[in-house]
Amino acid sequence: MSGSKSPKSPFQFDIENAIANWRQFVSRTRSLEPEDLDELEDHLRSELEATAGDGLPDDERFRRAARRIGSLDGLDASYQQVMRDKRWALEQWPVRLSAGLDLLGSYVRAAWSNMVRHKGHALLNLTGLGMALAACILILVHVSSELGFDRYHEDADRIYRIEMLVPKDQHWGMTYLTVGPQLADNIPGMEHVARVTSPQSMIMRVDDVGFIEDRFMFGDPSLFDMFDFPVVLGDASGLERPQTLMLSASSASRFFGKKNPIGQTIEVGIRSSDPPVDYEVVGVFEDIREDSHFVVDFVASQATRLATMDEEVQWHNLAFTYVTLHPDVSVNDFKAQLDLFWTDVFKDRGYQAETRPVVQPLTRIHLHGQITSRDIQPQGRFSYILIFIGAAVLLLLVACVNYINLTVARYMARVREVGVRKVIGATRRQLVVQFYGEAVGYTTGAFLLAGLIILAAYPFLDVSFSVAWQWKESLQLLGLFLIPAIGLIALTSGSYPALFLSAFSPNAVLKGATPSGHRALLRKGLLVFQFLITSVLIVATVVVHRQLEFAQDTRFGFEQEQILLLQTRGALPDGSDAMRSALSAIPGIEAVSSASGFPGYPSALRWFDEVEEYDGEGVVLEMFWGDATYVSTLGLVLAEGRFFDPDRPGDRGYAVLLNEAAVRAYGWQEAIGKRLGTGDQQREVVGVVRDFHTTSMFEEIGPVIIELGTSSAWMGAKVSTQGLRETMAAVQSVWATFIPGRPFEYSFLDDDFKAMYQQEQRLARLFTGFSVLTIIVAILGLIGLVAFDGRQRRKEIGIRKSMGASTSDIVYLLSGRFFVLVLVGFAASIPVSMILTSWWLDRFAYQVSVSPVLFVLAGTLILTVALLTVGIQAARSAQVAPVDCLRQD
Amino acid sequence: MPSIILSILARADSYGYDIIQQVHDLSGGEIEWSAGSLYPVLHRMKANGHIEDYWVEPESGRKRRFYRITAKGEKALIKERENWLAVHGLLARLWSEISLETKGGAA
Repeated sequence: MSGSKSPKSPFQFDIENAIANWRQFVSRTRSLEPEDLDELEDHLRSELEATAGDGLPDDERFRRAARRIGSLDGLDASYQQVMRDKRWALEQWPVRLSAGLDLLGSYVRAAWSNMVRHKGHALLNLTGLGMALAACILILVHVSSELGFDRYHEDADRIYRIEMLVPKDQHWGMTYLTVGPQLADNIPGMEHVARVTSPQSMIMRVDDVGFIEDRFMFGDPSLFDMFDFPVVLGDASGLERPQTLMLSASSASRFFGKKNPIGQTIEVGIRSSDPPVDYEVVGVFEDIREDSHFVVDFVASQATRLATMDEEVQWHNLAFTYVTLHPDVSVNDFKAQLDLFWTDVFKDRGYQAETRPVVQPLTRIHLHGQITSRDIQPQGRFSYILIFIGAAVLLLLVACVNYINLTVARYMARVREVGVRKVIGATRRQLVVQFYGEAVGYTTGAFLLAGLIILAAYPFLDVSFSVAWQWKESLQLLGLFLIPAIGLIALTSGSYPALFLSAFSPNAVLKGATPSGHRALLRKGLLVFQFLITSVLIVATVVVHRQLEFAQDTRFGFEQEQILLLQTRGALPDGSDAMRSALSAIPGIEAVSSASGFPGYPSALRWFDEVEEYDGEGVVLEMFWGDATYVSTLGLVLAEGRFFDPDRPGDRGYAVLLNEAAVRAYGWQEAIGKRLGTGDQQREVVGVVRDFHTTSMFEEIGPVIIELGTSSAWMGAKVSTQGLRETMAAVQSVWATFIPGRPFEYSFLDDDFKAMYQQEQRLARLFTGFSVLTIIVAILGLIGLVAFDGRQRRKEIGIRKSMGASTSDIVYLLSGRFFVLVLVGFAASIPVSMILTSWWLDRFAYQVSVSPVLFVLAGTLILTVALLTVGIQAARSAQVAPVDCLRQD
Repeated sequence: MPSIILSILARADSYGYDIIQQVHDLSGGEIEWSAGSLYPVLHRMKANGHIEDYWVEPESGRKRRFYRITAKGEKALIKERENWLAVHGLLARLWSEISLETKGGAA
């Protein structure tokens, strides 16, 4: 111990100082625990002690001791590995979380360096997964928006709508007007009862300005207690008086500008001919949210309507009837009581006794509401939500399969790497972690890409996609979805490489055995599966489009396309003839007639108690009154008998036309001359028209009766499509002459019919998007696989080329088997598509036929695209000069 | 390497520096381990549960980490020994039948 005892000078070597420096250096450059540092320091000191008696200078002794410790590289790695395991096993979750994030970070880094090394592959993989994810997230947002309808009301889970099953399995959303108050009186446990009528179209006038408003209902004041419809001005209690109304904030500003609307008067009339009724504005409510099944701007007091009705009339009018149950009342008890009440109150009411009540939860109305009866607004379809989810899952599956296929293909090239790593001591676990880690990294990347795609696509989404799209909620949703989804997708797509590749025996791998057999089979299987799904989606898309076309464009038995409808609303009780002739004088107009209604609009119902040669159940007929030209303007086709004859005075109020469905319903062999009803109500059948659609194709054509009568609710004109603009201008000036002061109100019959298929149109758009996406994703996968195959077989290609094979021989060689796989996938898809499409089509009463031609076309499309892809990619592989191929490896 | 460590620890608990010394002495200086290669192995063995560690802190002097063999480690050692003896026996028999002079040795 010579030097260390002497007084210290800055130039003299101090062994303690050196040890401290060494320790600091090690701790800074290596990530070691303090305990491990202690151990190393002890080791160093032991080394130093061993040389204490050698008489060497301290600095030399220190250098030797440090050298003997050797390189600390191995130390570092093994310490870290052990530490990591220890952390996961022992420490508390916050530490675990941060360790987990570290781990995630290292996976992302690993995946990133991998991506950079294989840019093409990464691009294929990321694009496919990213697009599929973007589509799925959008679907999720849509679905959650649809499922979230009407949930914003505080009492949403206690509000029910009383609906009704009527004979012949019809389900109506409404019940009789009288039911609501009777419920309130007879069944305990209800907090609120409220009724609204179905929306009506009204002519409204403030001072000299007229408006036509479709979102007008009569409602009880309790609506505003029951639902979260905030009242901004005034008070809903004002609705207890007759001739009062409340309107939405936006309508108030339309009608009154900045003026205070409370106390103002609005003239309201259903038809121009009726004297308008003055309504006093008693309140303004916030515009109803879009995620509500209510679509209403004006709520007029129910009392106005009730004032004109006696008890019996209320038994024949319908209203949507809502109840809020007391929190303590179970819905089952309520149902039981309602059933008892119903039986009791309805028992003497003839055919009405056959109705049964249905208790529909508020939150189900939007998706499960009735399609057939007219609901407050066209409601969503639950089955479509399921289809959306199904399609999203399929797409995601295709993308995952793609990932597996591409990854496995590339990992084949990494088999050697795996072997080497195993030999130098990597455990299987490390490899598994590495492969899963890469999958997590890729999936995270794909999610980021999906986020970008959604941002880019957002401006193009239409409102119907998600009425309540709100970033905050969507982000929350995404947050909830994101982490499990990354995990799940990574698990799905990373499992194969992780579990399979890591299990290879290093010996076999290093000896150059490329285990191929069943892996190739699996890859082939996945490819087949992918094209199976793609084909199903393509066929489904085509079928949906064709059915929509069929539903919208097929002749319905009348001249749909060229019929211009003017809603005159009885403006011209006497002047309708004059207006009709003025319209007929316009060159572009071929025929004009006035009528009570047109197909596609609500019509009157009619039934006869006594019918000649018929004594079955009462047949409910849909009824239209029209003038003598009505049937010819519509272009209805006569099956037998005759149309109305304007020259026979006896036709008016007596002669009727039936459609074939009505004749079938009565079971007559011969319809002409049959009498319906008795006394004043008696009618005689003079003709039968071929069936025509009065509503959407979801419903079968029902019995229809047409009477000759004067109704000027509507005017229909058959217009030539030539010079439509001039014709319309002329029609508008006629309108202005005969119905001054009212907005020009018209529509085309075909547009109105198209509007019935909104949901189906959305479905069609969605399916188009989905099939395009899946094709792209599947094609990306195909490109990757063919490219990989070409690379694997470079040597073979080189040899074949040097033996004289032409490029086209090679292309044929490379593409042949992929083509066969695509073909197999398509063939397997045919039964699946047939089942799925027929399930969907079953909801329509009238369907397009799904012909084999369709499958041939879809198949040709898929095979052509696949062939092109495979061919081009194979050609690229085949064009390499043989020398280059052979020189490799 | 793990087998040797297990064998040493089976005789008595020990610490890093001492293990290296023992290996050096027992092999007659033939085998020289460095700390950089020993400690990682000790770590892994500890993680496997074949050995465990404890700190000894004498009144005077510095604290030192000792290792001892666990029951699991003893089992592993027995198995290792059987394997090793089998291989040893085999090789001994094989080598006894062939000449072990290096062919290039003459040049």
